[in-house]
Amino acid sequence: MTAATRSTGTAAQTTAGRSQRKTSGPLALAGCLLLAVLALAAAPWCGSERIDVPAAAAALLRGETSTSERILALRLPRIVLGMLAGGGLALAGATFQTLLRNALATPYTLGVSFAGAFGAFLALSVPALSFSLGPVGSVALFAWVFSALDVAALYALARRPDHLDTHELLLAGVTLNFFFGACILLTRFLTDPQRLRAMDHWMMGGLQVSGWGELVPVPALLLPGAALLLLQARALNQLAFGEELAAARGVEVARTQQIALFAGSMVTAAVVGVTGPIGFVGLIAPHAVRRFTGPDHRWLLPCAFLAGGAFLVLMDAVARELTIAGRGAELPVGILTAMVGAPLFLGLLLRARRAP
Amino acid sequence: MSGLALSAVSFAYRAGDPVLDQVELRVEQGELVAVLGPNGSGKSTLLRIAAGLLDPTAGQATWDGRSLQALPRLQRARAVAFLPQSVPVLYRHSVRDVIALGRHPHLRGPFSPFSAADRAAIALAMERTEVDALATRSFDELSGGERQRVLIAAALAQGGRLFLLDEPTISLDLHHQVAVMRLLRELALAGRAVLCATHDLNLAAAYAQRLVMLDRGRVECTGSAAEVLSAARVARVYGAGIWVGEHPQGGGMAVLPSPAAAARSAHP
Repeated sequence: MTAATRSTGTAAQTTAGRSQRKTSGPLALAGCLLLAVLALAAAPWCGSERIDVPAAAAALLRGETSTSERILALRLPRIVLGMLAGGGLALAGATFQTLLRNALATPYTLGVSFAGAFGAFLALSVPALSFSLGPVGSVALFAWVFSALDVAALYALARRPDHLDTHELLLAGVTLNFFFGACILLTRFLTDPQRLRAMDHWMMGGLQVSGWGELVPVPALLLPGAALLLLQARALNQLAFGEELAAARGVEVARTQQIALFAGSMVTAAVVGVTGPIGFVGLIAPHAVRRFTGPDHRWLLPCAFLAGGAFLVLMDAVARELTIAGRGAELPVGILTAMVGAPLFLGLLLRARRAP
Repeated sequence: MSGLALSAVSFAYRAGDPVLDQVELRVEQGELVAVLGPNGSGKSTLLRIAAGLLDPTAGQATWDGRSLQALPRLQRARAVAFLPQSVPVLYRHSVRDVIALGRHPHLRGPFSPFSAADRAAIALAMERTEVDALATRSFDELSGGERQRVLIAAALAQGGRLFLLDEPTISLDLHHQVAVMRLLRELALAGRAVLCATHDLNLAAAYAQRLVMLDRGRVECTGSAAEVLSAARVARVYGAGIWVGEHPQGGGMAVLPSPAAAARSAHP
C-alpha cells in the first residue's frame, strides 16, 4: 500500500461504494431525466380506481369536481411529493456517504429521522399538541423541530476549529438514533393504545397528502437545501480524497462539511416531516446511480435526485395499485421500496460482478 | 525573498509542548530538499505549515516573500501543491479524473467545464509523469508506484511552483522509490522548489541537493549529505546500531542498519 492508501477496514469500502463509471455524465443525466418524466407521466394512471387522466385533467382545469377529478386532484400532489421525497432522500444519502466517508450512510444515519419521528409521535400522542399553522400540521412541525435539535447537537459535538470531526459525527449520530429510538418506544408505551395505529402508520412512511397546501413546506425547505448541495459538488469531489488534500487544493473544508451536514439534514427533515421515514431510497439510489455517473458529484447529485424521485413515484404508483384485500388499505410505500429495491440493487451488483 | 522560507517557525498543538522550535528553512526554485528525522521529529507538521494548512505559533512561513498563511486560499493552492502521506480513496476514479481533480484551484464555478489551459495542464502533467498509458485505468487498481506517480501528476496539474511531499516513497519497492525520487529531482531541475519529508536517509542522500535533519522539533543540521549524515549525528538523532559510510560506488553517503554496532552499544 502506498501513500495513496485505501481507507480499508471500514464499512465505507463495500463493493457498492466503489462503483465505476460506465456512462458519461451527460448521458446518465439524460437517462435519469427520461426516467423521471416517464414515471411522472405514468403515475397518474395508477391507483385502485381507474380514471381517464387527460379527460379528468381537462375537467379539473375547468373546475369540475366529479369523482375522477377528485381522484386526480389527490393523486397529483402525491406524485409531486413522491418525486421531491425520493429525490431529496437520494440527494441527502449521496451527500452523507461522502461527508461521512461511509458507503452505508443514509439520510437517516445521523438521527434526523428518528428525532423527527419522536417529534411527530409527541404531536400524535398528546391531544393538546394537535394543531395546524396554515397548511402545516403539528406533526410535521414537531418533526422538523426535533430534527433541527438533533443536527444542532451533532454540530456542537463534532465541530473543530478547521473541520468537522466526521468520525465523531457518525458516532454521535448513531448514538442519537438509539436515544430517539428509545424515546419513541417510551412514547408508544405511555400513549393511549387507540392512538398507536396512527403512530405506526406514520412510522411506515407514506405519501398520502390531502392536497397541494400540505405539500408547500416540502419544496420550500427541500429545494434551497438541494441547491446548496449542488453548489458544493466540486468541493465534495475533493473531500472524497481526504480533508488534508482537499484543503491543500483550496477547498474550505469546514464550510463544505457544514453545508453538507445542514443542507443534507434540512432536505431529509423536509421529507420526513411530511412522509414519515421512507427507507431504502436514500441508501441505494446513490449507489445505483454512481454505477452510471461515476463518483463526480456534479453528475451524481442531480442524477440521484431524478432517479430517487422516479423510483419513489413508481413504487407509490404500485402501492396504490396494491390495495390489501379485506382491509381496503394500500400497501405502505416504505415497505415496497425496500422489497422491490433490494432485489433490484442486488441484481445490479451481480451484473457488475459478471462484467468482464 | 524568493522560494520557500521558514523563519524562526515554532508550532505546538498543545501549549508548552512544542512540535517545532525556531525552525529555519529555505528552499529555492530548482532545488530538491529532503527533511529527515525520526518519528515525531516534526517533519509532517513542518510540511503542513509550508503548505499554509497550519499557522505557526511563532515565526513566519513565506513563499516568494508573501506569508503563506495570509495568501488567499485559492491563490495559495495555485502556488503550492501538497501531497500528504496518506490519501484515502473513497470511490473508484479513473486515473485521468484523479489528475484532473488537481485543477480545482483554477476552476471558476461549480459547474464550469475545463478550459483549454486546464486540459493542456492535465495533458502535460500526464506526459511529464509518464502516466498517459494509465489514463483510463481505475486508480484503485494501480500498483503503489503507479498511484504515487498519478498523485504527483495531479500535483503537477495543480500548477504550483512549490511541491511539498510527505513520505512520497513510503511502502514502495526499491525500483519505484528510485523512480519517484528521480521524478522529483527532474521537477526540481525544471525550476520547481521541491521539499519532501522522508525516513529514507539513503534516498535523500542520493537525490536531494540539501538535507535538513530535524530532531525533536529543532533543526539539528542543514547541508549536503556529507555534512548532515555524519556517523556521530546519525547515532545521536536515531540512536545506536546504524552504520554510516561512503557509498561503495562512490559519490555519496550510505546508511545501513548495523546489528554489530547495536550489539556493541548494548554491551560496551
